[in-house]
Amino acid sequence: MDSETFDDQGWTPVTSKAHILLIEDDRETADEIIRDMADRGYMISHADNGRVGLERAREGRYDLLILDRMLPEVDGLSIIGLLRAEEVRVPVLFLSALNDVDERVRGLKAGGDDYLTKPFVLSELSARVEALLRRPAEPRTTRLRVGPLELDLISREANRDGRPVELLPREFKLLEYLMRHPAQVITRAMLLEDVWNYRFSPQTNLVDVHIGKLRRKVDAPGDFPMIYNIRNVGFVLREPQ
Amino acid sequence: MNLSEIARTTSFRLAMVFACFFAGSSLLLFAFIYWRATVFETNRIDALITEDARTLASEDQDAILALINTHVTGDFHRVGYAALFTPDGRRIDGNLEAVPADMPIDGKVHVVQAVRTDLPAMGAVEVRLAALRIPNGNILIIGRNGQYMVVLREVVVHALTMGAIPAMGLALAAGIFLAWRTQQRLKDVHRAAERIMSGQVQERLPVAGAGPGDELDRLSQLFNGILDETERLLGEIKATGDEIAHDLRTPLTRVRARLERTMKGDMGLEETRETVGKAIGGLDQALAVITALLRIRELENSKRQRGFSMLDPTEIILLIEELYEPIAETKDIAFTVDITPVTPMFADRDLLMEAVGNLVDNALKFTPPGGRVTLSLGPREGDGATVIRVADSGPGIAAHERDLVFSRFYRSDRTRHLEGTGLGLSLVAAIARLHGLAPRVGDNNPGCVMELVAEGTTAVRAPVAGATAV
Repeated sequence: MDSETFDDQGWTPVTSKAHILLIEDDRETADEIIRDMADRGYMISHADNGRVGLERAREGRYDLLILDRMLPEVDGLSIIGLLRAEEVRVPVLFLSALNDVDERVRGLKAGGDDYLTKPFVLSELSARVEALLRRPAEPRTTRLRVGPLELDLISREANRDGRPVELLPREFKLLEYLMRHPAQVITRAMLLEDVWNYRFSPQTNLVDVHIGKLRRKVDAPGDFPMIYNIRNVGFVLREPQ
Repeated sequence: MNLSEIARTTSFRLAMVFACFFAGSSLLLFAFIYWRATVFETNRIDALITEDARTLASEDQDAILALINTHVTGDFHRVGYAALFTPDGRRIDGNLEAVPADMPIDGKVHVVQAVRTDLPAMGAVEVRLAALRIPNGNILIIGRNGQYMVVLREVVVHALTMGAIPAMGLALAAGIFLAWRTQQRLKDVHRAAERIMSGQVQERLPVAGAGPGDELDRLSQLFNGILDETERLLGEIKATGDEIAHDLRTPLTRVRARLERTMKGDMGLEETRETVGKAIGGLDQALAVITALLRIRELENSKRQRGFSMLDPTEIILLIEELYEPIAETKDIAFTVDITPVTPMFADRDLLMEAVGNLVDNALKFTPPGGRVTLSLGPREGDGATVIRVADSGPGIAAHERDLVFSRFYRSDRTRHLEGTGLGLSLVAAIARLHGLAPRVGDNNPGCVMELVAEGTTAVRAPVAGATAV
């Protein structure tokens, strides 16, 4: 085990204490999600049908909705449609057993912010929850900074402690994404989707190779490491500690 | 098979309908013949009567009386009438009782009621008579009764019973025979179908060999064709099922062993974590196989092209290059991309990227360090069809396997032991089918070439010109 690898359990998201509403009718799935979210320090409420879930969501006290696509009484797509029509802006993460490209597009079009297909790994869910709960970095910013690492989005230059880091365009793109989500667990699927618009899991360890190359440039020998592996989950970029 | 069973068959019912039509048309035909014959016979007899009357009237009275006598005595069938009356209606001679009332004396034939003197018991019957005044003022009457009509009717009815009724019986018998024969053939088909339904998928419907146009044979042949395809698919699914079960069992067995070891609890925390981590990796591997299978099935079933739009494949090729370049570098493989501009394609961006990505992924996996992989896009020489080609310098694919690599769920022996689901090419094939792209495999000497060809006849076109966004 190298010094840059951590276990998922050792990681508490900075967004904990956020209040999440889970609308899910399958008891076992709901129990798993509730336990995992509670372990990570989130406050989580649960509704097991669409009508109750919609009523609670309308109260508007939640920071995030996790919404099953298929629900009794009122289905997930209708809930999100109604909420968006009522100007409820809470971020919504869709869960669905329908692994269909069309379904995904429909979920996102209806106003969902992210879409996860069942069965999923809990760490994938929590990484996406964290990403949705974070306030996105100011989009018009021209400089990103995480600890000693600085990225100039205009001149396309990177430096660490003033020492320039030579990056290929694809590496720059990847680092920019990581720096826009500092101290946040990023899964391989998230990187593939958000950086390359790639919507399936390649059989090779593609993402690890990209990260490995980037890490060798960012974390020079003797530096404190900034890019960490989270075992079985993904990666995180944070200030050296 | 009993008669009531035959009576319910379609062929028998058709034969019955046919027999009824036949009987109806026979009756019509005979009625027509009977009518025409009656008219003809009546005219002939009327002509005979008027002719006889006129000839007789030209003789003198004695000669007439002699001839009447001869006429009456020579008429063994008692069908003829001949008589002479005084102007006041008194009978001089002949076999008529009296001049019938209202009988015009005009030499023409009239139908009247009359009584024979030699058969008074018969009473007044309808007869055809002609009356004529001879030169001395007496009245001559000549005629015949309707006996010939009876004979005619008898002849026609006789013909009907001798000819038409046996013919109808024959039609009925033919109907029963046809129904029985069809029923026999259908029974064979039925029995075969029952065996197939009970699981004997190698069974086929019988073909009687009754000729190329025989509709039952054609139907059987059609169904046999469907059965051939079904049997092939079943075989594929069965083989795939066995393989998948095997492929899933390997990682799951390892996961189980690791967890069992962990449960014994004699490992340190670090070692425990590592073992559990590996167990999760094994489960992920098993999950990946299942996910890939579901995805292939979903693509196979998907007939829609909702995510399709007109796009330039160049963009996809460049993204794939960017994604896979580092892997090639790490493996010390020369990865080159060669793009010649092509016309836009009607495609689903994500799916096409997945297909090309899988081909490159595959090529990089099989090419040993120091080898090379080329990804190229361009129009084919000749017809200009867009071709996406991935060529590698790996071990290549044996000629006998080339036709199979893109078939549903095909897993080559060379891929099975490697990391990954081994279902990558099946996914590529499913995506290609959805896009109407023809997947091709060739030899790269050494290595192999995989192509996706947008052939004019198969490639999916945009539904309406200018429909660039969906």
